[in-house]
This record gives sequence, structure tokens and C-alpha cells, in this order.
Amino acid sequence: MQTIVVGLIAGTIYALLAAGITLVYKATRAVNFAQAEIGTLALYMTWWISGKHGQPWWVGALAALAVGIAVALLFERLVMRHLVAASQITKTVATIGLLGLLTGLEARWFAGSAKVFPAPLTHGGITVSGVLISPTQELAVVVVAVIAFALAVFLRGTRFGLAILASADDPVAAQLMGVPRARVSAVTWAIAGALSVIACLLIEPTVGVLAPGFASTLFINGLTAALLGGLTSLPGAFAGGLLVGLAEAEVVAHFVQYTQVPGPQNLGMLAIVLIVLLARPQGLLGARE
Amino acid sequence: MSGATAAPHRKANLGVLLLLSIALPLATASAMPKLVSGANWQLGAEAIATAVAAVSVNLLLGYAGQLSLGHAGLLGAGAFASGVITSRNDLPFWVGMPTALVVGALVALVIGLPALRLRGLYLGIVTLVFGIAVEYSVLPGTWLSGAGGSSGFPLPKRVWGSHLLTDSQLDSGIYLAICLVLLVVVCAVDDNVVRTRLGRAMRALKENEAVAAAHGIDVTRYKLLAFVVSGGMAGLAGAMDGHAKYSVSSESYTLLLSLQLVTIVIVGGLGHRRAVVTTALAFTLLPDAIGAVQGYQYAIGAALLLVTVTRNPNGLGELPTLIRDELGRRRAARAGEVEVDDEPALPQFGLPGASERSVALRAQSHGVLREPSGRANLLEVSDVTVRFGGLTAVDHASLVVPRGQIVGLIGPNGAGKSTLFNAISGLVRCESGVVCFDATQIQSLRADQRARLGIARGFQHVGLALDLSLFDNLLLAQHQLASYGDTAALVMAPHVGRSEADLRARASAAVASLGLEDHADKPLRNLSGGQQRLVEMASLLLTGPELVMLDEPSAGMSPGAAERLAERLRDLRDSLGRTVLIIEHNVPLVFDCCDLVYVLDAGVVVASGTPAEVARDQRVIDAYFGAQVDLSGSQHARTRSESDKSKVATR
Repeated sequence: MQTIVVGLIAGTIYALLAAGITLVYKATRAVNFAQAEIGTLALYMTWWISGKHGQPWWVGALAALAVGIAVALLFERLVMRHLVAASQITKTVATIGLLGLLTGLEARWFAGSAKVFPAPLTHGGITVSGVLISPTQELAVVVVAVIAFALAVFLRGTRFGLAILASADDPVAAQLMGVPRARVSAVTWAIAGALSVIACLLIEPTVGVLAPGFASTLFINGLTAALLGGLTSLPGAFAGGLLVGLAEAEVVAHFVQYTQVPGPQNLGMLAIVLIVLLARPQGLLGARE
Repeated sequence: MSGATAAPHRKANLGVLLLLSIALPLATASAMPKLVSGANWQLGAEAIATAVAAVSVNLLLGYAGQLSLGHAGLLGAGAFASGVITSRNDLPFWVGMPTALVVGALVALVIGLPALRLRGLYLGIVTLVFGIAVEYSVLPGTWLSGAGGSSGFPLPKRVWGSHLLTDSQLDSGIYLAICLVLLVVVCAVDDNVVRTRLGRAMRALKENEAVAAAHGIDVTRYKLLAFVVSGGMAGLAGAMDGHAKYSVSSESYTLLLSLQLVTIVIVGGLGHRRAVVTTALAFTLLPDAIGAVQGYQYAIGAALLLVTVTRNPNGLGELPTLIRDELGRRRAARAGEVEVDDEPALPQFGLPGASERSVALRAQSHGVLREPSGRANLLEVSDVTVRFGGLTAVDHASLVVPRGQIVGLIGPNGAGKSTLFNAISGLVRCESGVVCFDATQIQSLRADQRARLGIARGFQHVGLALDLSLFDNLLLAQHQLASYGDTAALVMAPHVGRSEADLRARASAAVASLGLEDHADKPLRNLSGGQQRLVEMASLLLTGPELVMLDEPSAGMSPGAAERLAERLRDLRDSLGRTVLIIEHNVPLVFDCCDLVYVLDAGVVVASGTPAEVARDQRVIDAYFGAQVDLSGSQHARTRSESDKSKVATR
């Protein structure tokens, strides 16, 4: 039971990352390898403002959100828009470029000692079946539920949301129906950037320290979650995130005492990815292309 | 990278490329004094190891088109293999390095297995997660890293017994020289891959696996071979790097390293080995030499990657071609020449004799070749059914192709003609039925095995590798005639060179007979549709096949060339003794040259016989021009027939 609670809470973060990956994939047919790194850069921003300069957390968080959205928009405008006609691989390689750029800059600017995560809330926290849930984790659960609901309403219930879904389905037909492709692309990336920042801001401060490249395992888990959703299903991505969190918690709980295999959860992810891609590439809820 | 974005930026590319290609070597040269002063000979060795790793990624991604985002895992496997062998058993590094090579190749073989099912992005994802798992879960394990965990263990450069290479000036220089020699050897092996059927097979499967199989290439084998060779190089690179640094730790083999290698290969230019090596050296040496960029190397590399994919998808390696083209254009403009792109008349093809084919083929041990049976019917298709999900594309179709005749297969669009072709050549599986070629049942053989039996087939959309040059395509077509094994090709054994020379001579003769000498080195993509058709036919005939299958050969030809096509098809039959099976929408052409005609409609053979008989058959007229009373009763069938009627009329 404890493992389940721990897993589900960790899964909220993966669900947010998976939602961002899925959204970008639907819009561009590319996997955004920088999905976790945009948030990491923004997290450094929060650390710099709230941790180092002692401003309130929400000031740093808002600045981080602005930075994340700006990075995503710039990347969309300067790179992705030139690659509309390019192959899936080329677009994905471009996001690898963004990942390298952000990681490289973080390594240069914030090298040295690892940074402590800034915590959004310091008071509160409850205990569920023997597991202490920190205020940050409570916030994460609430925020993920709100975002899942908001995304569903936005995509299904508004004209612009439908335009995004339509151009994800068939870009040419959507354009012929008067959907502004450039604006759709920009908004999609802005949302993805915001999701990345929110995911990183909600990481429980005690799980680790902020260091360049710390996001690579985070990204792998988010990507595995998105694959469980077939890369095309947002509900699948949210469900996949929680599942990946659960799987990770179970693997860690059972195999952590074997020192021959440190970090056994990564092997678990490799197994999930292989099984999903080889046996069910459309994911749990996604439709076969 | 997709060429789609290349064209509009061509001018700008030249500028960017010139700038980069002058800046990179200059900066590398400027780093030399610091290197030579001895302070950084270790960095030189590391740079060379990076270059070897980049060559390895280039082989896999640039030639075979397989995206690996976990190459650091292979380097790590090599470094740890050498480390465990030499550090724990006090063995010399020159024992460790070959071990690393073998381990790298074996691990790569395992990663290559999913690649048989997964393509492109999905393969990238699997290799990425593999790399992460190796970095965090395998290498730091106590069974590999010992008590040190992720900080690893020391890795001395033991020469013999207790004699070690230290970090003295002389010893560092010696190790640097050893690394240089290894780089040269790796580049030579890579060159052997490029110059033989290995590289051609890899490039063909990168572009189109069906076409590769139709040329007799075993796609599975060459995909795995690409992984194994690349993995061997990566393992060696890992060991070179580890011994250069005197230590090995899982923290060196990160996702960032994998991505940096892919970055180097793309910035250098996919498939351009020299540019890739230069880029790798520059990426490693420059940050050290130029103080201002120190610490920014990853960011700068990534920025270069972004510039490359958006502005200059073919990388730095394309520069020589761009300059040559530009100079050629200027010279042509000065001379007032206009480039004439005329289509030659359909020529006679020089063909190898049938005996030459069997000799060349018997030299290989593919085990599928037998003596011709002398049976009257070369191909017998009985009761073949092909289904795609709920759709029955070919429904209990039977046909017979008598030896030495031209057989036509006609029918409206969507009738299942090309699917039947695929069933005969092995690209789709028959659900039921028997395909008999020369008295042997072949329905369970793979496409490449059928090709080696002597079935050559063309494709509706030109069955060639469009990114390869015309000449390379003609070499590719002779894949099954190359009388050497893959291992011999890797070390360029003497008989490999002789065999290649033969193939080149025959390809040259074919180019000459096509009259396309001026276009021999151009990518096939740049030739006209009619020219591509000619090259395709020549490539089919180069292997001296028993059965030639052509899928709409007149499509894309000028009317004049199409007229001469009938004559050439008769030549194939009469002078060369080939058997021909042809799909064609040009009905007059079919009736003009075929001995026997089959009509397919909705997957069913509705009529067969001599052209005269078929032309009179009411069912054929119905299928082509729409019946007064639609027998199938469906609106769909009627509209399809009508759209086909207009197609026939326009031809």
C-alpha cells in the first residue's frame, strides 16, 4: 500500500511530462527530447530567484514559467517552423539540439555544487496509510488533476483546442479549413513548455538535488509514460504516468537490496519500452496509425 | 536528413558551410601548438577516441540509417570490458582493446535485434533507454565497478608485465601515436564497407527495404551487420578513451555523450567520413585551446546542430559538392551553355551470359541455386490468396508464365496486380496457394532468396535507391554477383578488389549502353522519370535473371521511348532468351508485344488468353470500360471502373 501511494505521487510528475510529450508529438510527429530540460532550466531560475536571492517561491515560480514558455516559443519560431516539411527524425534531432543547448548552458552557468530544490510550500502535509505526504506532493496531486481537466476542456471544448486536434490529425486538411498552422504550432509549444516547468516545479524537494543532466531519467520516465499512451493519447499519457510511477516504486521496493544492480528502475523502464513498442505500439489507449 | 528543406537555402548554405569549414580546421590547427607542447597529449588521444566513436555512429546512422541514441552505452561496454580484463588480471592494454571490440560488437548485436522490428524514431527511443539503463543500472553495479560504484576504477596502460605507459611526455606521445594508427585502421575498415557491397546494401536498406530485398539483399543480415561493425568500433573507442584517461567510470558514458556523437555526425554530414572525423576532433580539441569557449562546448555543439538541421541538412561534408556545382554552373553560364536534359532512346542492353550468372552465383553458398529444370512453364502461380486485414487483395489467382514468352497482366487500378507481383517476388506473404518457379516451390522463401533464384522485379515507383548515384545503383543491382563474403570485404581481401573491379566494369558498360555517361555520378533522384525507368531496367538485367517482372515500365517515359519499349521487350525475349511478366496500363503496348495476357479485376483473374482473345472478352471490356449492368452491383466498383476508363483514355 505504501509503495502504491509513493508510486502514484511520483507518477503525477511523469504524467505532466508525458502530457507535454504527447501534445508535441500530436502536433509535430516528433518526440520532444527537451521536454524535461526546459523545466530544468526554469527550475534553476527559481533556485536563483527564490533560493539564492530569498524572494518568495511564487515569484521565482512565475519567472520560471515565463522562461519556460519563452524558450519553447523561441524554439518553435526559430527552429521547428523551418522544419514543417522535414522528416520525423529531423524534427526529433532538432529537439535533441535544444536538449544539448539547454544542458550545455546549465552546465556552464550553474556548475559547481548541486542546488537544493526550492520548495513551494513548507507547512502542511498529511499521512496516508503510513506514508507522509509532503505539502509539495499534495500540491502536485491537485495541480495534475486540475491540468488534466483544463486540457480536456481546452482541447475538446474550445474552437482553438479543436483546431489543435484537427491539425494534429491532418495538418493539410486543417489548414485548408482555415486553421492558422503557425499559431496552432506556437500555442502547442507554449503549453508544452508550461507543462514542463510545472512538472519540474512540483518535484518533491527531498527526492534529490538539482544538477545538470538530472532530468535525463525524469525524461525517460515521462517518455515511457507517453509511450504507454501510444504518444497520441492524452488520457493515455496521464494514465501512463501513474502506471510508470507505480512500476518504478514496485521495482525499487523489490530490488533495491541488490547492489549489483543500482537503479533497477531504469531496467524496468527499458523492459516497459521494449514490450510496448514491440507488442503494442499504439499504447494502452492510443489508436493504431 | 530530408532534402526537402535544402533547396531554397542553397546559396546561404554555401556561405555558412565555407565559414564553418574554414573556421573548424583553422581552430583545430591553432590548438596544435598547445597539444605539441605536451600539456595535452592526453586530450589528443581522447579526441581521437571520440573520432572513432563518431565514425561508428556515422556507419550506423549515415549509411544504414539506424538511429542510435545510446551509443555511450556501447562505449561504456568497451571501456569496462577492457578495464575488467586489464585492471583485475594485470593484462596489457593491447589485450584489452580487442576484448572491448568484441564486447562492443556483441552488445550492439543485442541492441540491433529490436531494430529488426522497429524503425526510425522508435529505434531511437529504445536505444536511448538502453543507454540510460547502461549508464545508471549496469555499469555502476558492484560486479563491474567494484566498491567504487559510479566513480569507477583506475585503468592503467600496461604494456607488458609491470611495465606501464605513464603520463610522461614520451609515453603520452607513444599512446597518442597508437591511437592515431587505430583511427586510420578504423577509417580503412569504414572505407572498405563503403566501397563494397556491404555499404551499398546498407544504403539501400536505409532508403527502401523492399527495393533492397528485390535486389537480393538480405535486409536482416545487413542491418545486424551494421550494428555489429558499428558496435565493434564503439567498443574500441571506449577502451581507447578509458586508457587515455587512466580510469573508467559509469559517469563518463552519459546520455549527453550519446547525443554529442549524433550531433557530431549530423553537423559533419551523414555519410561523410572525413568531415565527421574533422568535426569530432574539432569538438574535443577546440574548447581546450580557445579559452573563451571553455565550458560552452556542449551548448555550441548543440547550436551548430540546430543551424545544420534548419539551414544545411547535409552537413559540412557536402561542401565540396556544393562548390563544384556552383563552379560548374558559373562556367556553364560564362560559356553560354544551356543544360540539355534530353532522354536517350531506349538502348540495347549488354547482358552477361546465363553461364556467367550461374558461375558467379554458385561461388556463394546461399544454398538456393539449382540447375534450370527445363520445364516449359518458368513460373506457375496456383490459387494464391493475399489478404490485408479484412481486404482480399488477391483472391485465388492462378497464372502460368511459359518460358521464353512475354506475359501481360492488366486490369483496372486496385485490381491487385502489384500485390500479385509482391506475392510472386516475396514482399507479401501468401495466405494460401503455391508459387512455383522453375519447378521449385518458392512461396516460403524470403524476397532476397527469390531474387537470387533469378527473379528480377521492377517497381511501379522505380525500384532503385534514389539517393545513390546512377553508377552506385548499377553496382547495387549486382549485389548477388559479388563473389566475396562480408568478412573478406571488411578487410578488403585481394579477391574482393578483383570482384569489385568486375562489377564496376559491367556497370560502366551498362552506363555506356544507356548513353547516360554524363549522369553516372549524379544521384538518381536528379534524373528524369524516363531515365530512371531505363536505369531500373538495366539494373534488372545486369544479374542475368531468368524472369524479368516489370511493373508499368512505360509510366514516366516519353511517348517515343514508350513506343520503342515494345521492340525492346521483344529483344529481351528473342535475342536474350528472357521470360517477361509485365503489368502495364498502356493496353496497345500489351496487345502489341505479349504472347499471353491475364486480366485481373478485384483480385480475381477474370480472363486469360492471347491478346486477340482477351480483347474480345466481354468481361475485360466490362472491367475496363464499365458494364451496362454492373455485375458486382456495387457503386464502388462502378466509379472505380469509370475512373480507370478516363485513365486509359488519356494514355
